[in-house]
Amino acid sequence: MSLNVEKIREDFPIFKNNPDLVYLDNAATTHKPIQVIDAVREFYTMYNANIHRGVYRLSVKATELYEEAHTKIAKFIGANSWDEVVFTKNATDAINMIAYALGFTFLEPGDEIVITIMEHHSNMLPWIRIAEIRKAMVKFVEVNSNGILNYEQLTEFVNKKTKIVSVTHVSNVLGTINNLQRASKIVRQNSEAMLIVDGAQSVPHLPINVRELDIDFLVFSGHKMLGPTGIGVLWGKRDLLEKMLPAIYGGDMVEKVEIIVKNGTIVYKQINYNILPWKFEAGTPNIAAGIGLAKAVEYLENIGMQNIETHEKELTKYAIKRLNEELEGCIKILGPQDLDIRGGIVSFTMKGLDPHVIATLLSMNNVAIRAGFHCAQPLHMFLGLSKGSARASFYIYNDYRDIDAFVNELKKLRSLAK
Amino acid sequence: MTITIDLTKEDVSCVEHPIVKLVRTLSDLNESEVIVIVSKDDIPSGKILEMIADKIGYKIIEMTENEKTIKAKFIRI
Repeated sequence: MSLNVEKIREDFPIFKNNPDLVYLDNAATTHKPIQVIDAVREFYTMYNANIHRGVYRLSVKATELYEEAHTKIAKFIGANSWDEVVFTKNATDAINMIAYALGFTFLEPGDEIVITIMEHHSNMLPWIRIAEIRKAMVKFVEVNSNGILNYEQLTEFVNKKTKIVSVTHVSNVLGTINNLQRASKIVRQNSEAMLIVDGAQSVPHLPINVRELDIDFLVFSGHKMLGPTGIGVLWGKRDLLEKMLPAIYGGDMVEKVEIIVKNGTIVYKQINYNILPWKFEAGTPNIAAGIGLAKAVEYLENIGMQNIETHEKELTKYAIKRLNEELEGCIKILGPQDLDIRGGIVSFTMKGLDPHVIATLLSMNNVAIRAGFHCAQPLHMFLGLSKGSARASFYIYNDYRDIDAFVNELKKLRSLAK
Repeated sequence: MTITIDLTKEDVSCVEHPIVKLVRTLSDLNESEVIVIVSKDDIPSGKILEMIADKIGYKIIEMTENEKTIKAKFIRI
């Protein structure tokens, strides 16, 4: 194995407290190393205060830590500057913010938004809603039978009317790693559209550099990369972030609010929004989680993102091989056969067995996988999977023994499959 | 007292499934006898019910099935 999993697992209290747990639901959320837990605890026990405008020592320290967290994330994704990084609740929150901010700033009736059929509901429903509001149209690029994006169709769909293209980097069902450079080239050659990338399943698992990818926005969730829940990231190119109107209004996102009211009516109004990134972080943010996320990134960097990618490829290769060998004829694995374009996600169906039945029976033997549509129901409908799929997904603390336990439990269900 | 859990009318949705509800309900119940009725569309084999019963401290003492449903009597052990 590329990683010393035994040593890594020592950092995760969840495995000490649940020694029999075989956790293969990392695409849903990941466990937290003690370093992240301690960082959050340390904030609340040592520095807890609200950020910005506080003149006392604790507030200054809290502000410093929170701003440093932005810097750390910016470096992690290769951003030009720390203030291009906006903290949100999660990737869903970030996409909604972009959809409403871009929608109200740039979208006109008749404009087009291009997404793909493999999107998570989070990168689909906000676009459908903003298109309804702005009288724009949403187009869906399809996938082929191997779960690979149809780039010819993307080329066909992206044109002068296209204002936004929003794609996932890695499918949370198929595991497909989309070729963002290729997508970006298509978008740049055929339109002036902005390219938004849902990195929820890629940023935790692969080295990412937003400048090399030539994209305009990237979103991801902290809890899927060892960080706390309730923290996510929206990265955007500075010029676009500066042009965009905020989607959420309130405290800390304004520099000046001069409103004169006479007889209950506004007679003068001057509202100046705050500088980046605070313009998009209205209200008191989740300071502790932001600091925790920075610690998670530090942890991942210490392991090395390239090593993490290699490790997950080893696990995926092993899992697919074992599943095909041991469950031949009764299992269907979704997504690309080519491991080079596949992340650490293995979704599958078994003949005659509802995915929920599979996941429930495995859970009774401490193997945690996920079943259903994985918030990608249109993709399952497109693939003709009316009951969804079962999904195993891997991370740094998984090893071959986890895969063996998973496959061995599945083998017990073989007699139930028709 | 015997209670009956009829899961044949349960919708399979994005967030819920009859087997999940069955396991949760059986785990929460204090009754010593429970009759469970499920659709074969959701739970295709009585063997699945036996596996569940075994894991959460029940035994199935009676099971009948027709084309569409399975009916099983669970007793606590």
